[in-house]
Amino acid sequence: MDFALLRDAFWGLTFDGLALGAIYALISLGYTLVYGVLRLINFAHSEVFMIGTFASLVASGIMGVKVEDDPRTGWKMVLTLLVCLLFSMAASAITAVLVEIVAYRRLRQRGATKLATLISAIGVSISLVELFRIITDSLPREFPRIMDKTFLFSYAGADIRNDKVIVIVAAGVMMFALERFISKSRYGKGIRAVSMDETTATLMGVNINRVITVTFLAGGLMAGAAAFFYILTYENTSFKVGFFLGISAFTAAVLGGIGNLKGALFGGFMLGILETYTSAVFGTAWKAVISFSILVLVLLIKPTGLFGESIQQARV
Amino acid sequence: MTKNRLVSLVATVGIVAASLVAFTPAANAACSGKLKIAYQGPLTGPEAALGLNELNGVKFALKKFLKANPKANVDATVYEVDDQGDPAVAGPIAPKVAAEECVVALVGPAYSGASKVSLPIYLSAGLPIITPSATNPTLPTFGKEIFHRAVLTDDYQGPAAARLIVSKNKKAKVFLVNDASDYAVGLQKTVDISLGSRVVGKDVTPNGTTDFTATIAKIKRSKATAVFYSGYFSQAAVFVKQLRDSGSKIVFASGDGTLDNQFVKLARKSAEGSLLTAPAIPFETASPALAKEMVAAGWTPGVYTTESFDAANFFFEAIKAGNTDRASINKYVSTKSFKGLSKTLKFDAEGEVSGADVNGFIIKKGKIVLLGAIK
Amino acid sequence: MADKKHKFNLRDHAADFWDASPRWRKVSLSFLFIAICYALPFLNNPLINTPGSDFQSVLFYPVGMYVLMAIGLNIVVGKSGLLDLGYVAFFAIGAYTMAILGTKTSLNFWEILPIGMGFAMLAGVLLGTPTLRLRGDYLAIVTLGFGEIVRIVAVNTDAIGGPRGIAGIPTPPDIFNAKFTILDPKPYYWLLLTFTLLMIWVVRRMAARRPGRAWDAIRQDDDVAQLMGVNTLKYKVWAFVLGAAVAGVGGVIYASQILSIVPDQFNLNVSILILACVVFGGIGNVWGVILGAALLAFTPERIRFLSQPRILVFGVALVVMMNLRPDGVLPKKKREHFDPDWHTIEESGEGEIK
Repeated sequence: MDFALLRDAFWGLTFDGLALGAIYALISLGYTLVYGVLRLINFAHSEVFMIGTFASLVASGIMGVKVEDDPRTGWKMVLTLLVCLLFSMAASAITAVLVEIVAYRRLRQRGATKLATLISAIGVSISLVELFRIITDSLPREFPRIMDKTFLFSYAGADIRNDKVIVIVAAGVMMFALERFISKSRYGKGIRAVSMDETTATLMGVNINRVITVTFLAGGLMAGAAAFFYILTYENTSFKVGFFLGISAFTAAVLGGIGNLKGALFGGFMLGILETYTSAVFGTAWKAVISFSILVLVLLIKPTGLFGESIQQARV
Repeated sequence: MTKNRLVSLVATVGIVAASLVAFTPAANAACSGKLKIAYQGPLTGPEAALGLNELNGVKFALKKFLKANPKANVDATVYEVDDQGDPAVAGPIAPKVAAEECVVALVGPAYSGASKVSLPIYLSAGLPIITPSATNPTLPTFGKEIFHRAVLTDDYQGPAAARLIVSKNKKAKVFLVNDASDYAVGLQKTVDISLGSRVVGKDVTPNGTTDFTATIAKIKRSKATAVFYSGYFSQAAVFVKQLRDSGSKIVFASGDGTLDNQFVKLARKSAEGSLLTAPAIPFETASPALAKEMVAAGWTPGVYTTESFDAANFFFEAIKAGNTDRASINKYVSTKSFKGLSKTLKFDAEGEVSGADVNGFIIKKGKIVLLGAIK
Repeated sequence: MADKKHKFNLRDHAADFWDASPRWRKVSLSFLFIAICYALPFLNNPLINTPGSDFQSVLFYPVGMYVLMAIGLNIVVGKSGLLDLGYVAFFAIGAYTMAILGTKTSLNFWEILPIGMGFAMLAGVLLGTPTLRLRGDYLAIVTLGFGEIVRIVAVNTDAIGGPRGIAGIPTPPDIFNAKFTILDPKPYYWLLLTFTLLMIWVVRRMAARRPGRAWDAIRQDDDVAQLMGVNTLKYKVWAFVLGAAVAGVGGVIYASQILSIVPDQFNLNVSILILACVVFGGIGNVWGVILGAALLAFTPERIRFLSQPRILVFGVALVVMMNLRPDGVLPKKKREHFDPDWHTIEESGEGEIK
């Protein structure tokens, strides 16, 4: 155990943890949205994220960026980054909607059990992972450096790097936009209505199918943004990437209280920081053990997570 | 109902007893068709990249052999055994391979874990094997009679890696990182012992770790001048990139799991100057001409392609010398020697290759450059 | 929904046939079924043979092993409606008990078997008592975490081999004329089959008695069950421990056959696959579960010739099958006295996790 490291590099670890947490938070929003509406864990959500990372890769190719190129500057860089981001969000959103149609819709309409739906989603997840494994020859893929990574400033021994600042800030903007959407827009109201009471919502004229599609779409958009930020920071991806991040993001969603937007947000940031701290103190090998133990403790004290489960009252 | 079940259970016991008495071991019939050479390793699943490298080496060797000896009684396709690098998968497959009479030799298994499960089965079937990449030192205990290894074990690579790091900087202080895999932990142990007091810290980053922030913070605090990463190339690339992006300029060193052009491709500039060790040698370095020929034939060489190419060729030598069954081929490879691309294969009583070197490499201008054998 | 019920239902038809059968027919049919199971290794039929892997070995692992574990998990998921995503942990505990005691002590397989089962059950109590108060999906993530923790601890503990695992696990001593050797999986298969039959018998006895009724009540409505005086936590822990025992036994037998184990064999995918077996076959119905496990374990081996797209085909088949038969291949028998116009919600809610 190395508490001295945590003490000495506290702000550096916190900052890096926040950047990681921002990605977790964006992914866990997708889990939470779907759970809020369908009361189901969307097991294929990690693959929605995975496809987003590959979409960024494709977009960078379309923008003519080559792996061996020097980083871009000025407007060209901003444009390339934006195209990659939009591409990822679009690809993930489309995937999420398709997942709903393939894995969920028919089963839902037939009134199937939760477990049957769970297995159907797992089937989609397995298929997508294998599809990308075959496409990529089981090899990881590298993402070109579009933006030069520089240290902006140093604070209390923490080196603040530009890409991580962008990730944290942009993730915040995304989440704010989602919160506006859920609380103000027509479909957002629909989502909240369905999550409160599906039957009544239907009676009130809410088109359930459309609301569910929009839910998956919103979750997919967030996962796509997370995918772009992930590949911008870590500059590589592989068919396996969804699995590891998916488990962490799902843990984050449950930690905050699944079905609760604020919970997912808080859970994501908290888990990111927590993982970084525990890696420093106990070693990276024990990271998952510690985060799961903390999750169990939290659930024993607050059985529905830190913020409880209720999308309808969600306020970010 | 209860009595019903009881009756059934009693009957069951009777049947078991009857079938156990009727049990007779299957005889090993001789092969009537063409001889087959098998390759075992991960061909699907997350570890498939390494297995495909090796399979390509065997395929290329087979193609060249049949071209030179069109009359040889050897099947033109490699008998592919996909164990996914997973012992649990290898369990049901190995007996099937052992039961195929025409499979007279096997290149592989690629991984030590799968080898531990497969070797006892091949031993009882007398099937000779040459593994191109399973480097766990304990493997001969699972069947040294049929086991041969075309590479040096971790026991050699670790000390060599330590010597390489120290030769570059006499005052080197080293931080050790491994990926919690069977291979990586074994390799790190031998590096650790050889470096002794030069080791200033350790961390384990399990396969699948994406964020190395905490590890890098530890490395910086330890004031290490070098970091030795034991693990595989994909993770190594992610790690070295984050290390460089954090502003650290210390020496990055790694073992044979990282010796792959994919590592350079993934880490790009961050990989520059990395020191690598391997009992293996890249195909392009061993023979540029053959490598070109292989690419033209549609197979990309990678790490351990050279060793599996050599292993397959040794078996073909045995077949060319008139050996057509498992026992005689095993005897041939166990006693004779063969000059391969990587080294001269000559196995001792434990099936270990003798007189081979561990090579050092450095990454310069995006190329893996051979530094030569580490003395 | 409504039109579905009037369709011919093979499962109900078979159940009616069985219920109406005289005793002698039941006895002889069970006898025949069991005899076929025991004779399976000798069946060398090109239809069910596995090109690319040894059929007899496949019967032991994965087919037999998955069937046994699916029966165990069915007690937890199917009977009492608790979603367990970390079932592999108990399997790992059984296998590690066999590996550690088998290599470090002079105990033999038969002596280790109850110990392994005991350790798995103990782990079930330790995990179950605090966490079974949690509901549905929270329980799922906690059990998932437990499964991962067991694996990670095994990887990080040098005393039990770390990532290298444990090799040289002894085989069981010979019984009757059967020799437990590495080359011959048949005795292992028969051993496994015997345990499986025993488990089916135990589970059926339990299901017909008080625990079974308690599980039924808990699955349908936890709160109501508690209100009616069922000690829900006690019966949940019971289901959990019973499931753990089955997996523990499976682990001990598995370790004694495979001879060397590494922690990575006990990953999350195994838990998910076994859960898929349970749901795929038909939650709650032991015959469906057996069929589901046999199919899901067998199919990837059967289509090994497909090589690269093998797992992809498997995943697609899973989605297609769940869409076509959401209640599984062989679902639980429908309620006997239902009014087709009324009980739709109850029917579709069967086996649902609240």
